Amino acid sequence: MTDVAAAAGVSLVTVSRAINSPDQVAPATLAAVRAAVGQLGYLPNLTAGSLASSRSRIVGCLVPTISHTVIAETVEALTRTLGDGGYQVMLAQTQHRPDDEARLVETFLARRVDAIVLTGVNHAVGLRSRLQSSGIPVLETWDMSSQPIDLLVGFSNHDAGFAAGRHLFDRGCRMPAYIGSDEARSHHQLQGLRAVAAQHGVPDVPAELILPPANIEDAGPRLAALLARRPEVDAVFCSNDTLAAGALFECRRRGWEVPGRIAVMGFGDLPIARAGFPRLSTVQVRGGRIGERAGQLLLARLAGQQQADPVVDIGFEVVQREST
Amino acid sequence: MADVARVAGVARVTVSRVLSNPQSVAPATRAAVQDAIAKLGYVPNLNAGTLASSRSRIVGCIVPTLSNAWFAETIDGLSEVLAAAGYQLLLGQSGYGPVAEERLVDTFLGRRVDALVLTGSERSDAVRTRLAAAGIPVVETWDLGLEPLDMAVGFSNYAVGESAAEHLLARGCRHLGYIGADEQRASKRLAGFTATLARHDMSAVPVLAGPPPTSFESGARALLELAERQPRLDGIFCSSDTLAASVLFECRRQGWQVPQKVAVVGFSDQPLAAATVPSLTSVQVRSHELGAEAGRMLMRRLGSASTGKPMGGEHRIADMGFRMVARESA
Repeated sequence: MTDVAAAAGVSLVTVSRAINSPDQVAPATLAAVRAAVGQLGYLPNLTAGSLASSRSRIVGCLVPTISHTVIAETVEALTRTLGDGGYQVMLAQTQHRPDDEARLVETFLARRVDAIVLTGVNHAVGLRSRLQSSGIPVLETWDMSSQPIDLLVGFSNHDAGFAAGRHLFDRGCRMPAYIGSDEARSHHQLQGLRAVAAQHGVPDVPAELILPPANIEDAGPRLAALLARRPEVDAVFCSNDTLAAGALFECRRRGWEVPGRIAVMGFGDLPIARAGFPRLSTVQVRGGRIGERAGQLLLARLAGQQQADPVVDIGFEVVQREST
Repeated sequence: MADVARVAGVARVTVSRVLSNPQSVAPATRAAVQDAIAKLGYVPNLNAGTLASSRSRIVGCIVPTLSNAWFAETIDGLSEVLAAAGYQLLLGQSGYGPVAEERLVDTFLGRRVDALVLTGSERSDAVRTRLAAAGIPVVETWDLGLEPLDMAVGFSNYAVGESAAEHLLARGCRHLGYIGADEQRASKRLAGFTATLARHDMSAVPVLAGPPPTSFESGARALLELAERQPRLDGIFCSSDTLAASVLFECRRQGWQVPQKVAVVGFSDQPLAAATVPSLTSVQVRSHELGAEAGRMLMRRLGSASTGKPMGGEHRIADMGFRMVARESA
């Protein structure tokens, strides 16, 4: 670093500042330092810096699986937002196993990550207190809780299920069913759907819960099984648009009119919802927005600002298209 | 760590061994140490170990964007292999830009990652020089260039294009079109596609569907443009399944029979391809396996984190190939 300072004709502290917070350095100076860095092939050791300042500038992010499109959208926006603020994302996948979540959190803590982002609000026993005693910011996403561990950016899956159900009843459906993956956020959606069904005098909502990860090719057979078991079902709400698209394709294959024979509703509003045939009614949730707000909230907290409200409800919106 | 050793009644080196290589410690001793760790709430600092051993056990991975399912799946595969070997994954997105990639490479090298996984085979000289100087293992994915930086795992995008052309020609298609993103690897697929047609004295009308990542909307628009420029259009190669699916949807909206009026071939064989009606013929590449293989190549080079010994059997280039999956659309 001394060599860089000499080559750029600036002080050591300026080099350090140019590396750690380039926004605070005049553009001309920054250019001179960067030129010197390029010329000398100097690479600042960010790890050494992390021991000195006890900041790793790494945020650990735990997702069920990155292959899930909506989750990928969130991680995409989170990585971008934190990257702009000088933080990198360390990614780990729980593959929907709570025990793995606890183990991976331990690894993140051992890595001295500056903050941890979790998916969902249902965690293994003991994880909450473990995280609260760690002293670093923790942010939960993709669901809502009255008792967040710390920060939370999400929406109520229960209310989303309720709203989807209300839409189906408003469209004249009388017997809704549910296809989702067998995990907490889907369970919350199903509870919401059952609550609105109960208000309409429907005591039971048949459901097909798929061991995660639920894929597009799972939806068709599950829909067929559902209708074979309960022929009176006239609407199906799916826990994501991918499953809903799979259900739509199955309806085409079997010649079932949508929404005449059965209404199909998705969740997420992925691009496929707008493009499919018929176009899919869905509950729009902006996964990218969750990642972006999460990144902003963490950057503010890491800069020492306290949030007036640690919970951000980004909400959702029922979008009616052709399938309901 | 001294506290943990005292509570567990073992030597410090035993605690250290339980943390870094638990299998090497007797189960009873291991349990005692783990109890002590839990009781004291001790968190080992893996970064401190980094400086001592000059190993961070972190692998940096740069993809164009996670919004493209291909790259998300590759990361999924890579992450699985790394996690099993005790490595963590640091993630970066270049947004398909060489400048952003260059900055991320610098950042990751500054963090002393043990290895890097990059996307594609085209890099600036600056990045090549920087990586050669860093001396860490690098795996390039999703393409096979003439001269990989270090290691490469992928397939020939050019050969994918050739194969798509041959498939459509064999079906009797004679008025062909291409829809793809304006991007390097897609351009190689187009080059292979047109070269094959040229050998049969034919040409294809190419329509670029804008910058990546490709979307359902851009595919529908591109199809209408293609139909205007090639009125006798009877076969299309789409450079992604997203584009191909949106072409199928738009054909249905226009009342064009697939494959009778126009045959459609996609690329990458996403789960979507098998589910659409009609189901989509696509060139299958194993996105997940690409990432997993990149991880295995790195682990062979770096050795597993617990033993620190290289596993050997090193190979530099893994051609994962591809496969034409013929379904209803072509």
